[in-house]
Amino acid sequence: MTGSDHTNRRTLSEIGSTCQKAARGAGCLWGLAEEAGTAARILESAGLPGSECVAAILSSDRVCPCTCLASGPVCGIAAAAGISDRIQEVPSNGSVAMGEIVGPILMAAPLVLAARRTGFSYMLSIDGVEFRIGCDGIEGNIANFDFRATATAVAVARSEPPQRPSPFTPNSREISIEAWRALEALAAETLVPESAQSRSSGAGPDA
Amino acid sequence: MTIELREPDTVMRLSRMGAAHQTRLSFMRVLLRKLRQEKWKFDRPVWKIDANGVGTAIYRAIGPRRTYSLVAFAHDLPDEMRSDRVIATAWDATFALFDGTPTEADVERLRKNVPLQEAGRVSDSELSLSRANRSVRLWNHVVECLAEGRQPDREKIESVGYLMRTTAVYGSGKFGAADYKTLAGRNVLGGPFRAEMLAVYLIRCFSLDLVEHFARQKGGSKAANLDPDLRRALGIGNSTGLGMAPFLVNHPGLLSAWIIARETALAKVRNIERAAPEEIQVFQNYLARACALVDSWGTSHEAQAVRVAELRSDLDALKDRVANEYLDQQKPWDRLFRWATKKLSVEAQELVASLVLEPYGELIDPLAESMTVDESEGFQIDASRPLIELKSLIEQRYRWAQTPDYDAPGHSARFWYVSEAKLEPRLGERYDEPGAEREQPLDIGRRASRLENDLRRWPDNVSIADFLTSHPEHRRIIRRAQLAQSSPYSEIRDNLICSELMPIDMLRCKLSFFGATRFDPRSDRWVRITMYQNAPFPDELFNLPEDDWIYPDTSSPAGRAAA
Repeated sequence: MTGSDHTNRRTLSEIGSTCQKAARGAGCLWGLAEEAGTAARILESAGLPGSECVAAILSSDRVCPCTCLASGPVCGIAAAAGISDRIQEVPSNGSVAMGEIVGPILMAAPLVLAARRTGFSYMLSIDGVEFRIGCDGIEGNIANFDFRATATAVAVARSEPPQRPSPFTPNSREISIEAWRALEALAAETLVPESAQSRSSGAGPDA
Repeated sequence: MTIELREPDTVMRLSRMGAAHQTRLSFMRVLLRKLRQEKWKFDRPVWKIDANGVGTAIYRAIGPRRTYSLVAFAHDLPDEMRSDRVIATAWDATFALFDGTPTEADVERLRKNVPLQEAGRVSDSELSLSRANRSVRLWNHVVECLAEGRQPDREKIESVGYLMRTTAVYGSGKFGAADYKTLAGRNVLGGPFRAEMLAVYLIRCFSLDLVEHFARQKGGSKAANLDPDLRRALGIGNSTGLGMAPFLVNHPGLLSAWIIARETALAKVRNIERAAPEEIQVFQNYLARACALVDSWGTSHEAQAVRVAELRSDLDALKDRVANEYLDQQKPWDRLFRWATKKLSVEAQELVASLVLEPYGELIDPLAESMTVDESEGFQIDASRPLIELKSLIEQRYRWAQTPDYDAPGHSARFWYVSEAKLEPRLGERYDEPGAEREQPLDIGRRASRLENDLRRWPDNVSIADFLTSHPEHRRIIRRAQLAQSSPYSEIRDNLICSELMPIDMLRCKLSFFGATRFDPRSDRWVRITMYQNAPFPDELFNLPEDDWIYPDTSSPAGRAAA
């Protein structure tokens, strides 16, 4: 809103698009930037701070196809893509254990998509905090959970469906102004400044 | 033998997509059919426009379960500030489509934001945000005439076709408006772009009411209202530029759903064994009316003018062809379509593909419900599959992408980018302009070709997951390729970065699905169109025949003038 209204509500479309652009602006490959945008959108639709999580990941040192780091915590975006690609390898009994990850909650998004596709439900365990993920929503105790932190022990397993999941809604979400500014600054790195040539080429009514 | 859908290699070429016409499945037509079938009512509870034409109006569409309101703000815009460009700061009128009936507080909130457009914010309660400018020449003429108590010149009205043209109609979560998922499952607005189409339909009402208001202010008691036939001949104009072009690439599942619906409709009609006399009569009637529309189709764009002239001559040939009981034979529409494919221009072929659907509403219209998709469903890559499947997919669905030599300057001459100054998509010259390192990923053919090259070096039995671990740069194109397996029309089968690219072909394809007519390209990058021309106004929706407006009625004075 204008003037005195200091809220920072953003629609799911804006969240998905800005997070994708920010990831690309930060150097992510396009396919991984798409994962970041979609994951943020899904998490926010379930009432979880996906935008802040993406902003935190993009500002952290992390191991990722898009960075040159050889050691350190794994990028949450890459981890989300990784679990998405290996979802069939999650055993019906037992779990897939992963190491240190920045922003691991982002992995909940591909688990939502997998739940919709396969009908299974999943458990994402992050340093002992458990999230149950099904096609109808995500359940977990987020009272003292830091979505921006790097986790040291992350595991994914099949689980019973969540009992009282926070359902997915299409409504806009209140986003931390600080995180949003960081995302917009990175997104701006995808824009091309005007040049003498671009000014002369024109694009009709949009020029 | 059953006639199948046309092949993607035929349908998804830009030269054909750029010749697309509206059909019974176009969104404006679907919307008006639904409003009529559900007996929607319309009113204008607020009209607070002053003598200078400044103020607020509200138009409501009231259905059995939902109400939607167009909140319109009329402004006093100096002539020198009137611009068709999407980047502007003031307009003759600005609008929001509200989900329900707005309270006074809602209207006040909108008054602070809607006139600012991109610089303001709307909320989950708004379904679209838009603005429009007057067509000054026609506006002044209509006001002058009506103020003097006479009707304006029919030819002028016909040649322009609208009193106002929109320069942007935003929806789906833009600038704070409700996300498209909000509308999922709603009967009337649940389909693609229906909220935007409803907004434009109500904006048209507003433009006509406003011009009569101006005439009354000027002429007082002697002012006339516009004759209903002339009124109906006025639609809403729109200028569309490159901003719309990437949509079709960025929504492959949706594009495929739209094309499948249209191609299924065509195949259904081509499979009809015999046409009843009344069905042939409907076709003949629509053909005559299509000729009238094409006759009134003016354009100053050299290439399009040639195509329209060719279309006129092709329509004469078509009229000759369907005379003398040609359609009384077996599978008449298939025969006709095959003949058109051999003898007529692509522009005419696509018009035939649209016209043959007209007699078959009951058969065709339900397909409109299949034109929405949940895009999240096709997002996740099934990376457990072996590369042999991916190789086969690339071979089947992306063979077209292997032909160009992307290292040759002509085949990679362009790059798509988002302009920092305009925040809009643009097309740059790769070898003449800076910025290609920030290219948007619309180079689908080149990406598929690079994937194909890398896949050659990998064994067939390796999983996509393992391949992606080594080649994360192919993630985007692999996602698209898997989607293309179930969505065969998801890709434009042309090189979108070559020097020969005509972006208006992409615009025309999308606009034809909206239901636009009279495409008037102003360059290879932007086009003017008309929407809702000849459509019934809300008070006529139930009095005029259903879905019978897209072509001018040659029996009406307006239609006779055009014919």
